[in-house]
Amino acid sequence: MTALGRALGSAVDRGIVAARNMPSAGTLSAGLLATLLLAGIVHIVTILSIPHYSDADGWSRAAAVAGNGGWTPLVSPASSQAALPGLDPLFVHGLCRISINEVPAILSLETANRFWSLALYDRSGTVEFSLNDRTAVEGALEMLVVNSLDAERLKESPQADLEGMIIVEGVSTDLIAVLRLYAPEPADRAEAAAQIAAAQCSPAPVFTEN
Amino acid sequence: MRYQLPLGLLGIVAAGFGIGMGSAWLMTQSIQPLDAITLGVWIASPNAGTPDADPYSRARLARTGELPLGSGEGLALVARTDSGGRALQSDCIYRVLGHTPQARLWTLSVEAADGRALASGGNITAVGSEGLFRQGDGGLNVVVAPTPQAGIWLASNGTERFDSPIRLVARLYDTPARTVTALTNFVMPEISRERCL
Repeated sequence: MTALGRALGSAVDRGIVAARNMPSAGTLSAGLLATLLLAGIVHIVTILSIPHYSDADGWSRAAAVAGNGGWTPLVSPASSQAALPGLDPLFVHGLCRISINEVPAILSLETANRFWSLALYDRSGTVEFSLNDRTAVEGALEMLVVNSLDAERLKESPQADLEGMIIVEGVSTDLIAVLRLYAPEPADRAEAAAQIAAAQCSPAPVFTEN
Repeated sequence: MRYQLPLGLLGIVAAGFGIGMGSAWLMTQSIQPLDAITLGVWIASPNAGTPDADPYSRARLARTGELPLGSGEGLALVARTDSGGRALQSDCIYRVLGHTPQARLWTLSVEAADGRALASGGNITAVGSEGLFRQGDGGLNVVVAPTPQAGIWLASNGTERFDSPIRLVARLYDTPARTVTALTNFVMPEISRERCL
């Protein structure tokens, strides 16, 4: 009797323990909800952080090629598309990194009558400013990129020698300029490469302290 | 009982991270941006590189490593399938026939699926719009094939494998097609597969 009672009792106990181990429907759905919620947060954080942590994005690739002083030419289609995928093979490209934190930067280009365009990219790969030879003054590029502080100073005291220049106010102070010159034939490529070599991309201390 | 809660939590955290990151990865793998405009088989993303770009397109672009054309420069349209919906392959012959949207200059190029140049061994892989390449009605008639063809031929040889995936890119420069509303009214050439080798 006592042995049977003990056996029965332990069986009942085991039953209760088993029931406790089985999560209830409420616990299950709470767990599922928590999983989905966490998955959603992780998903959003991952998507938003990819551009910041990627080292193969357009900016990083361009920064690896672009020098600080002057234009770096990408002449052959193979070299330009290896450096930056998606560049037009019929174009010769020039890359230049500019920092307008302390002094403005001057960008200039003299070309023949062929299409060219220019874009300024910030760190996120967003285009801050772009133009082509039609929007530029007489097809030639004469551009000054300034930070917001220098833009204010220019408004207050316009500099005489900057007349006819395109003044661009950069939101970011660290930018990469990409110059695209249409050059479909080998002879055009050589010409475009020479034009990029002669083009200017440098710091311009336009404010003379007095 | 003591170990039940931590184990359950661990499961939730693991599954949450797994599903969250897995779905994020899948979204960046998708070839078509979310805010894309499609013109037949051609896909353009006019918001790419602008402050209006959505987070998924930004993440996707960060992975492909491309710098999109600025709004003052032009717009790129990418085709990865023929007009029959089949993926473009380097071992097939395609005819690109029809009109392009208005632009001062456009180029058409054949590239590897990831945007790299093809090692075509001196063959032409891209053409520009400079008059020469127009038919009588002002349309475009180009053959994309791995072997020499009559007419205007873009060479799709030079891929890693004989039957690698390729893409065709039409880049329109100085074009009003940049605005979304204008784009939807434009037509782009058809890409018909003639045969595969």
